This record gives sequence, C-alpha cells and structure tokens, in this order.
Amino acid sequence: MPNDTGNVARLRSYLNHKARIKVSDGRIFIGVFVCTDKDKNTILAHAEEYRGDEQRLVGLVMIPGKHLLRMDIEDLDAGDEYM
Amino acid sequence: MAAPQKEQPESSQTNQIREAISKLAIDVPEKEIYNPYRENDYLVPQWKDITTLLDNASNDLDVGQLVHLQSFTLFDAMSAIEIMDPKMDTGMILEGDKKKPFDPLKSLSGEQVLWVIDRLLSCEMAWLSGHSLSQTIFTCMYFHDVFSLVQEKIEPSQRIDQPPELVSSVLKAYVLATTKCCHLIWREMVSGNVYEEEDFTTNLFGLSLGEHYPDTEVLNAIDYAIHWLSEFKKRMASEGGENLAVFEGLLNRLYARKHYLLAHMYFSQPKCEWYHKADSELQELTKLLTSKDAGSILNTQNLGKEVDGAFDENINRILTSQTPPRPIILPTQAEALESFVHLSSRLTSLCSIVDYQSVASLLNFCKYFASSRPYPDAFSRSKLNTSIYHSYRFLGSCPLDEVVAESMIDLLQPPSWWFSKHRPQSIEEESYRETKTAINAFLERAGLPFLDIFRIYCHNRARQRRIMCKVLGEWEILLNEAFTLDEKLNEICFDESKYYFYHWTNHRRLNMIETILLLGFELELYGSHEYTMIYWFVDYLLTYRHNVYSHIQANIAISDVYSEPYTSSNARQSSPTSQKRQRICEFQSLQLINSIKYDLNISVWRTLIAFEKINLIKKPSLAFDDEETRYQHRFKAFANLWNFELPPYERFRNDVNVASEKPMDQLHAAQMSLNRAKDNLRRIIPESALQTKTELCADSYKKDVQAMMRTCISNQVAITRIMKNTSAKINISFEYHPYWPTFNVIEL
Repeated sequence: MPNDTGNVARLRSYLNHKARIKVSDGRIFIGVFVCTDKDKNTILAHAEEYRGDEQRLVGLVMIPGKHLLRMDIEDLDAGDEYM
Repeated sequence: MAAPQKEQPESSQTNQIREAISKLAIDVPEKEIYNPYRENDYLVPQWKDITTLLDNASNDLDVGQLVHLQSFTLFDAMSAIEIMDPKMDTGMILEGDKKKPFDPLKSLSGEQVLWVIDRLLSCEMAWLSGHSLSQTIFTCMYFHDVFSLVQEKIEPSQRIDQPPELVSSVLKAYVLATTKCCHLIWREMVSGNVYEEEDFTTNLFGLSLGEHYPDTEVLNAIDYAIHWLSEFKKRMASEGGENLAVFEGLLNRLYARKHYLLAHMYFSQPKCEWYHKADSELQELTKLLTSKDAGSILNTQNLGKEVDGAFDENINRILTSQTPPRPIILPTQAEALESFVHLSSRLTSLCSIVDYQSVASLLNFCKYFASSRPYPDAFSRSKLNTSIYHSYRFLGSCPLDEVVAESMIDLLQPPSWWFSKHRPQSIEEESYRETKTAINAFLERAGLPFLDIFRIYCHNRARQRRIMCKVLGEWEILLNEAFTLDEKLNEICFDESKYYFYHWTNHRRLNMIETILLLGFELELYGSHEYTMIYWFVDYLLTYRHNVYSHIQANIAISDVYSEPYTSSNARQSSPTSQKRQRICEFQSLQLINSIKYDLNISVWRTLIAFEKINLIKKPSLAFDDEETRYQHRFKAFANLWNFELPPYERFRNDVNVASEKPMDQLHAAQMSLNRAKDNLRRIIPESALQTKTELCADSYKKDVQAMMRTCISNQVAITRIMKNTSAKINISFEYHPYWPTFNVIEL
C-alpha cells in the first residue's frame, strides 16, 4: 500500500465523523462517513435523507462522485473556541 | 358511518403519527423537522466544507485504492444503496412522478369499480403468495383513502348509471372488508408459525390495516352496499339499463367477500369452536367463485375498465427506503381467481379436522395437506399449525398425552387398562400404580415430539425435510426411553416380552426416515445417476419395516376392532356423536401399503439397473465424483441410528454388481413385483376410509393410490416394450407419482 499523501491522511482522519453531502438533485444526506475512492464515490452509514421538509432514514448509501456537489464534515476542533 | 379517526383519542401523539403515515402525509405537522443546515445552533459542532480537500485527496489516490474504516469491507459496500440510480434510489424524482396525484373522490362507472375490485384481489393473492404489502395491497390508492370516500364528497357524474354510491358504498365496503381480511390474516401470520421473508412478509411499513375499525361496522357496510346495489340493479333493469351483468358481477363479488370475511372471523375464534360455521361460509364462497352463471364472478372478469392511476407502484418507493424493490408480477385476474378458489377449498378442508375420527387420520390429513399441489399457501399452513396446537392443548382442547395414548391404541392396541382410569381386578394395586406412573411419564414425554410431526407438515416442503432430519435425533432418545419402559412393563405385566412403546416409537421414526428419503425426489435433490443408490436404500428401509410389522403381528395380537372401549377424560369424546366411534385398527392397511411400496420400489430399482446395463440410461461422467463419499454423505442423517444400522457401502456395490449381471432377469423380476403391487393395490382400493384412516383426505389418498397404479401399469408397458426391442431411448419422469418414476420408451 502506497504511503498516504497529506491530503489523503487528512481525509482518512475524517472517517467515522458525521458528514453532510449535497447531491446534484438538491437532496442532502447526513450520515457517518465510512468509505470513499478515487472517483469520490462516498459511502455513508446510518444516513438520513432530507428533501425540503421531508426527512427519512435511508441507511447505508453510496453517493456516486459525479453526483456529489458538496461535502461537509462535523468540525470537532472548531467547537473549542466557544468553550 | 362515522369516520373512525374521530373515535381515536386525539391526545396520543403516536396515533397521530401513525395516522399521518397511513394517509401518506409524511410531513407530520406536529413534528419539528430537523434542519440539515443548522448553522445557528451553537450546541452542536459546526460543519466544515471539505469538498476541495476531497477533490485533492481523490486526485492523489490510486485507481482502486480506498479510504475506508478498518471495519468496513468491500462486502459491506456492496449492500449500500446507490443514490441517483433510478432502480435503487427510491427518493429520486423520476419523469413519471410529475403527474398529478390520483383523485379517489371521482365517481366511477360499474365497469371501473369492477376493475378496481378485481385488481385488488390480484394484489391480495400476490401478498398471500409471499410478496410484500407495499408492492401489493398498499399500491391501491383507494386503500389509503378509504375513510374519505363519503357520498357527499364524491364528485357527481352526469351519467345515470354512475351514481356516487358505487364508490362511497360498494367500493368502500369492499376495500374495507379486504383490509379487514388482510388484518385477520396478518394477525395469524405474526404468530410465528412460518418463516418471515421465506414464506411470507408481514411488514406493515407503519401503516394500519384498520385494526381499530370494528368488525361489525365492516359487516354493516357490506350489508348496506349489497342492499343498495340490489335496489339499484332493479331500478336499472326497469329502466332498461344495458350493463346489468356488471352490477350482478359486483353484487356477487360483495357476497363472496362477505363470506370470506366471515370465515376469517370464525377462524380467529379460540378452541376451533366456530370451524363448522367457517366451513359453511367457505362452501358458499367456493360456490360463488366457481359459478358459471351469467353475471357470475367468473363470467364478468373481462368487463372491467381500467381506472388510470388507481394503483400506484411508486408507493413502494416511499415505504421501503432501505431496500431496493424486488421485481414482482401480479397474477392476472383469472390466476388470482384460481388461487382464491384453491385457498377457499384448502381452508374448507382445514375445517374438517375438528371432527377427526382418529389421531392417525389426522396425521394422514396433515401429510396429504402438505403434499397437495399447488402447495398450500403460508396462511393455510400457519392456520393448520395453530388449529392443531394452541392454548397448550391439541386442537385447543385435548391434552397431548391423551393424543399419544390414542395413537398407540390405533396402532397396536395395548392392554386397555394402561390408559384407563380404572384398575382391573386381576392387577394388584401396587403394580397398577407403578405401571401407570411409568406409562404416564412416557406419554407426557412423547407428547411434544409427537406433536412436532404434525407441525412439521405445516412448513413449506423443503423445510419439512430439513426439520425431519433434525428431529430424528430426538426420536432416537425417545426410542431408547420407550425400550426401557417396555422392559419394565414386561416384568410387571407379561409373561413373554412385548414391546408396545418401542414399536410405536420405531414406527414413527421409520415413517420419518421414509419421508426424508422420498421427499428428496419431490424436491429434486438427487441427480438422476443417484437414483439407484437411493432406491436401494429405500428398499432396505421398506424391507426392514416389513420385518418389523411381521414381528409385531407375531408377538402382539391385533384384532380388527378394538374390543374394550377406551375411556379418557377427553372432552371431545364425551360428545354424543363420538360415543359411537369405532376403533378400527390401522395395522392391516399399513402392512398392505408397505408391501405395495416395497414392490413398486424394488421394481423401479431393478428396472434402473437393467436399463443402465443395456445402455438405455447413460450415467454422466463426473469429474470429482466418488460414489462411496456420496453414499456416506447422502445417508449421513441415518448413520448412527439405533437398531437401524446404515449398511456398508460395499453391500450396495455388491448388490448392484450382482444385479447387473443378468439385466433381462432383473426386468422379469421387476414385472413380477409390479404384478404383485397391482394386486395389492386392487385389494386396498375397496378398503373403507376408516380402515385406511383417510376419511379427512379421501380425495388426495385416492389420487395417491391411483398414481401408484398408473406408475405400475405404464412401467409394465415400458418393460415389455424394451424386452422385445432393446434399441430405444428411455425418458425418466415423475409423471404420475412424485416418488417413483415412470419410464417412457421412445423408439428410434
């Protein structure tokens, strides 16, 4: 296995964090970030789907990289400044 | 009719949510929606945009390299649902989603109502056959809006033959009744008698099947609809209306639904007390379903006119978010009606079990019930299971030890005082008490394993074989206990050794081994090159059983009719009809049936050997096949049985080698066996159902005997043709009997 570059290592550190992904048709998925690959195909576990006012549990989902518009991660470090 | 929502206590929030889901109004107003962009919430961590990081990192990754949790494997990844894939992603907006929602409050013509009703029946039958509710019943838009179908709300129509009552009374009543039937079925199915997902899906997806809606209201609705429709039909007839057949058809459907619903209500009562009532309802139902009069259900099937959008498959996308839908093809109207007729007649036969004459005939009923084709649906099987054993009683009323005692008396007629409450004068007080204690302990012990045999037949065909293999071990232990008990009883009661309990237990065990072996043919578990091996083993079993029977006959005097009446505390027996019950011993017919099977089986074996030898049947050349290993594997379940040793493989090989030497002699011997089997079949056909213990399953039994007869005759013809001319082709098929094949000669 090749050594991780800085970017990959940082991404790896976000595994198991809560992630929020916006997809091309406007839906938002919030779930636990568990896996991604070169094509940015990303897998979220225990995901919830949001479309406008509707919300539902969708479980384990794979979001293809080409439909992934924006990805956020829960920033656990930023919380400190309010402490 | 009052809307049921109003009857519900408004306070309970769970009820509200449930109702909201029922109405598919997923956006429950009371529930606060969580905002995914909760930027102003200081209590939770802030979001950090990592899109650019993701882009950069993915550029650095190699093709095929994954960033993943240690615990997350590629295998897990495969079960993820792919977003934006129209086949998997149920939340995606598709082209078809843009059409406007279906309006259930439009008035419909008679033909349209008829179509909705028939389509709903197709859905119902598909559900019963194992599909999910979300792909069947729940696709009906009228199911979801049934309570809003009020006459005043229905949009009036200009046409005189299209009054709003067709929807607000007829369709509403029918949909309500269907929902009620589904609920009664669902209540049975969640009792755990069948395997979820394997036999049936009970998932309600949080929707309600109208359980809060009283049964009487549904019946009232149906009665009112029937009354209104009859009046309307009369009016239409006097005005010279054209499509009277449609209204007659609708009326028949309402009647049929009412009978079906009533039958289910009677079935759901405890202790099987209302089975007679259910029986008469089901007979009425069958009459309606099979009637061929003008205006009957069968004749009006093609009159329906499709209502666009009344059934929406997309409901499934809303309800099942976590699994992609399974492909489903609804049965056509004709197929649905056919399965309905089958269901109705199966349930009718089930009603008869409350009047069983003997335990043996009830067991035979279960056996033939399980083997009937088309195979019984999950609901009937579950219902039979519940009927046989509930409230810790056999048929809800009889203790299990009495059932075992009755079964023993049916088979072997042991001394009657063993099971009666009165001590005969010839027996001393002390030895009487000792005997009774030992016997009662065994009867209690054998109760549940014996009950299992009945209940095994209530599983699907493949499970039956599997479970039998499993319980065989338990019967081994029971057999040992029975033997110990017999030894003890021999000391107390008899001068010579008699083994009643051993023989009874052994008889059950051998029957099970026979079923396990022969079911393999029905379930197509064996390859055709294995047939000789299996039939050889069946032959070994049947010969063994024949010897056991001969031994029983020599040592235990069994008369045709049991002399002394059996007195027990059984509640069923105290009824006036059962006083006259005659105990006819099943032993004679068991012997006869065994010899028929023996002859039929050995003839098939000999024929197979001979045909293989003269190259009429070709064995496939298998690369990694070792016959001895296969032999051990096939009969693994019988490897360590007590008093029924698995013969060594060499013995099988030797028998085959000897038999193969003179194929023509084998064919001659097969002919003789078939002649003997035919003679015995002719002897058993006139025997009464009481003698063969088949009064509950007379038709299936008759078919079984006829199938054996047909197999005998057609195999004799085939053998004769081959003996005249060996240059032919043989086709083996289980055309008549599922256990013994017929050989068809195709001349070249």
